[in-house]
This record gives sequence, C-alpha cells and structure tokens, in this order.
Amino acid sequence: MSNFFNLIITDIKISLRKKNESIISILFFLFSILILPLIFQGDQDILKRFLIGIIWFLTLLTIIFSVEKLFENDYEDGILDQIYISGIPLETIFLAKSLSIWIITCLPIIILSPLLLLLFNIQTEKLANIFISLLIGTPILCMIGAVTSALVLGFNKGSSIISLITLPLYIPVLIFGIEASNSEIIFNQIGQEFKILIGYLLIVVAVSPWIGGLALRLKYR
Amino acid sequence: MSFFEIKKISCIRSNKLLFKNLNFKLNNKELLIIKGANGSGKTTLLKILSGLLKPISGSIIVNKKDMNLLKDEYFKYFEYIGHENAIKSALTVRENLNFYLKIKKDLTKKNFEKAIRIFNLKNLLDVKIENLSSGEKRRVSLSRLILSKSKIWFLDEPTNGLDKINTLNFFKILKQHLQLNGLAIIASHDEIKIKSKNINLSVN
Repeated sequence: MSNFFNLIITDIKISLRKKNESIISILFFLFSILILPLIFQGDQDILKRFLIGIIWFLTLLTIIFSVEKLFENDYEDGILDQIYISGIPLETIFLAKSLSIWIITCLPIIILSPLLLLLFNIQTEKLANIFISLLIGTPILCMIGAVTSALVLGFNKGSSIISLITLPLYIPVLIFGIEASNSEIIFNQIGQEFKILIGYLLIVVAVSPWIGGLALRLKYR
Repeated sequence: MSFFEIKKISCIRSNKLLFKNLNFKLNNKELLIIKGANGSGKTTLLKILSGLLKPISGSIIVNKKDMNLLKDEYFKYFEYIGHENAIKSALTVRENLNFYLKIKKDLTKKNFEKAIRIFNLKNLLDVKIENLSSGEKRRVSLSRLILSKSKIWFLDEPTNGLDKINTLNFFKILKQHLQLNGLAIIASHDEIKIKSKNINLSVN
C-alpha cells in the first residue's frame, strides 16, 4: 500500500515541478470555456443550453491529451522497468498512475466547473449536480484513457487503431454525465443517470486495473 | 552447482534471431562480460536476465531455483542498471534516491552517505536531474549499486559518459562487490581490467 501512495505522491510532486506542462491542460479547458460567449455572440440562452455539454466534452478532450503518454515517458526513461523489477504489481502501478493523473488533471476541472456555471448565471441547483457528476464521471474517463495508454505501450504497432477502438467507451460517460448534470433534484432522490454513472464507475474500477496490468505485461514479454 | 546459470536461452526480436542456445554459469566472486557489436543483443540479454523480456526458450536458474518458479522473489536477487538512467528529471538527486529507497526493498539507506561519497554527489544532492550533465546522471544511477543489498549486478554499459576518475571509482566498487561474494554481468565495449569470463554475441 505504501508503494501505491509513494508512486502517486512522486507523480504529483513532478507535475507541480513541471508547472508549464500540467497547467497547460487546465488553461486549455478554462480558455475554451471563457471564449464561448464570443462563439455564441453573446446569446445567453444558447450558451446556457449547451454549456454543460461543452464542459463535459472539453473535460474529455483534456483527459485524452493528458493520459496519452501516461506510461510511455516512464518506459522510455527506464523508470517503469525499475518500478516493475521492484516487485510492485503492474495492476498497482496502473491504479497509482490513473489516480495521480485524475488528481492532477481532473480535480481542478471538478472544482472550477461549478464556478464557471456561476460565472454564466446558470441555476445554482445545477452547481452541485455538475460537481457530483464530474466527481463520478472523470475517474471513469481517466481509467479508460489509462487503459488505452497501457495498450498503446503494450502493442508496439497500431496505436492509433487502439485509441479509436476505446473511443466509444467514453460516450456513455458523456451521455449520462450531461444528463446527470442537467437533472433537477439529486438530494431527495438520486436520479437514474447518477445510478448508471455510479454503476459504470464501479465496473471500470473493478475491471480496468486488470486490463491495464495485462496490457503493461505485454511490454515485458 | 553454480549460483547463477542460464541454460539454452534463445531470443528472437523483430523476426531476427539474436542468439540461440546460449549457456553460461556464474559462481560467487565471478564477473561475466558480454561483448558484441551494436545490435548483437547485449541489452536484450541483460533484459532477459532481469526478467524484463521473455526468451523464446531456455531457463534461468538462480540459487538452484528456476526464475519462473521464483516469480517476484527473483527480483530481490539482483540490481539492474540499464542503458537509460531511470531517474526522474524533475526531481533532485536526493529525491530520486529516496524514491528508489522507498519502492525497492533491496536498497538500504544505511549506505546512503557512502554512495554519495563514492560518486561525488554531495554538491549535487539538491540539484534537479535536468540540470546535470550526462556523466553526472550516470553517477546518480550507479549510486543505487552502493545502496543495494542484492548479490547480482546486471549492468548495461555502466561507464557510459563517466570521466576517468569516476570510471576508476566504479571499477573499485565492482571489485569490492565481487570480493564480498557478489556476481556481476556487464555488457560493455570498454576494457575492464578485472579477471572475468567473457561471451561474445555476434550479429546474425
């Protein structure tokens, strides 16, 4: 367990040191949202209708860009080899890397998104909805992205095909994430969309470490 | 019975036969030097010995036990320094060494000061790796050997980028390791003036 946290703490420390690289994905997200009034020419109604969907879509893009080389850099530097021969299971390495990229990339987005809705005068009851739906949905997106990254490393060839094959797995998260963010009440009764998202999260958490570990193991065959 | 033995190891990479039915035995205090031209499979052989790649056939026996039966236990027997330095560029020398001390159970903090002294890293301890020269990075990587309690060293071009003084320092610690019943397998183009067994890999 201590190895798991050591890997996460080291990754977070590195990302804080490489401020330029880690901040760029958050800036991309923020900047894309802030230029929306220009794109919609100040039409508040259209903007309000599409803002949540755009936030989810930009979150997905930010995650895909961030996890692309999640394992490749460590592999090329020889660090992944050393972690592997230290006896840490590849599944643990996979989980630690996925969690660290979620903390680095998604936590700022989860915190910023309700504030952005506030900035655009969206009903305040939706602030909690988007916060909670992103909290449930982003770990799914990160883990699917991490599996893709591990598969790309494991199979030397056909990396673009692997990325395309895993793309449909993100779509249910977008559909139900947007639905959940737009749903009316969540405190009295959990909406169906939230239940589906939670179900998807549990499946991904249970399955992805094994697939990710297996994909990384291909590199060591 | 030798402490470390490989039997009939064969390897094919990218549809190319690198070596076939390779055998050797190594006992305590013995050094094996792998020689060969570029592309002959020296690094691949070291990676196979380290469990980072699988050969198409053959077996590796350490301390009378097959590597495949030992599973993760096998990793405790050796320290591997590859072609890449395996150090994180955004971290300092101290943070890198502490990272490995935390995750690798065969490393001990007891020899931290000794490692720093032998590889002249005292003034570089709080410098980020990205600000070091290639020779200094290699010294950081090699300092793990001093921290290691492992009996076997697998080293891929260990003296790459080292100056004369640090190369001599490395040979000194290699000799000490062998004297203390250690074993070492080194892929190197350099002349190593220590009594050793040799294998030559040829480009097929």
